[in-house]
Amino acid sequence: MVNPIGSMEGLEAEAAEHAASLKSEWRRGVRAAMPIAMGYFPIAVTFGLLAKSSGLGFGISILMSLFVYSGASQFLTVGMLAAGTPFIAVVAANLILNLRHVVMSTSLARRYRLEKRLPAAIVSFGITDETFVVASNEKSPFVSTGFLFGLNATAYASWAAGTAAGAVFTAWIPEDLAASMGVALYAMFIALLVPSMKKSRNVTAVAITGAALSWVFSLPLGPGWSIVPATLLAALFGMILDRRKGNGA
Amino acid sequence: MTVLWIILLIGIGTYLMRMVPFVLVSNLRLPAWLDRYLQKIPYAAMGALIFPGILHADTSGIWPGLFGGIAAAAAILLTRNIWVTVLVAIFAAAGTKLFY
Repeated sequence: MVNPIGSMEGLEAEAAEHAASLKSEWRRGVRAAMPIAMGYFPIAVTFGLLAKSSGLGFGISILMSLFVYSGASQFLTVGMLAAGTPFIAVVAANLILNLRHVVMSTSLARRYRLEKRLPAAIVSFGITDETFVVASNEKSPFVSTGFLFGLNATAYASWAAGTAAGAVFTAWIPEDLAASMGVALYAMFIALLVPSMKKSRNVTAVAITGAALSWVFSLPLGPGWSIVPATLLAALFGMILDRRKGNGA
Repeated sequence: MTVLWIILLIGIGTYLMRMVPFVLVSNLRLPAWLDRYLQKIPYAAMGALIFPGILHADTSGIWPGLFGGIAAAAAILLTRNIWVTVLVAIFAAAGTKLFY
């Protein structure tokens, strides 16, 4: 990384190398996002269908996907608006539901080397449950800006395109098809989690605790709301397990 | 018009929750215990996201999601391929509905 002083060729070569790695990292990110894109599309279609059929206009439906970009939150908003919930309550409920992004962003930031603020601020818009999980499963200790851009932009594009398709073709898309593909995102989570569970008992314990707590909390809280408390407590349990055994997992 | 305001407020609030921790924490040297805690977050989150959500992955009932999930776990252990796993799960979920 260190250049001989005054060597312009060295600087240029380094810049070229940087651009090449940015491109290859971007490509790697796009590839890693494919299962997410495949899973997002039918869900976004469903959202588009639902938003449009519950009376929100085409523009508003798309704007929600482009601007809020959070599945759970968007479905909740449509439901609350349809139920005639007061506006302040809709905003407050959504912000509480979306608090989990603070947890995910903090966890992912641990593995990100910030060089410039602007690219980091832009790429962070694309942090979702799914992109967070995929980025966290990267083998290298640090995730690059290029990788995150490829990953997040691809997932975002699929979400936006799916919403538009759903809102446009309200009557055309068979609901059965969208329903069967809903399992795709969960399959991706399982595909990422199971190999890590196989390698480490502590990871297995943390994941099972997370699942169990999520189920218990969902009984009074409803799905969506249980994820934050379950994640925070299960991770705490994992930290205590590590301490007892004296080795990381 | 009010709906537009709702979207705007939720959008800005959610973006700040994504952006502020990411930009601030990435430059910070965290205490070791906090680092170890944050390291566990992805595994805990994956567990919490998979269950019980997978049971509602298909609107027709819990069985397609359940069998799709079991098939996915088997597929990743056998093939180590994420694509094969996703496809196997979709087919297993769709196949389950044939028995209704």
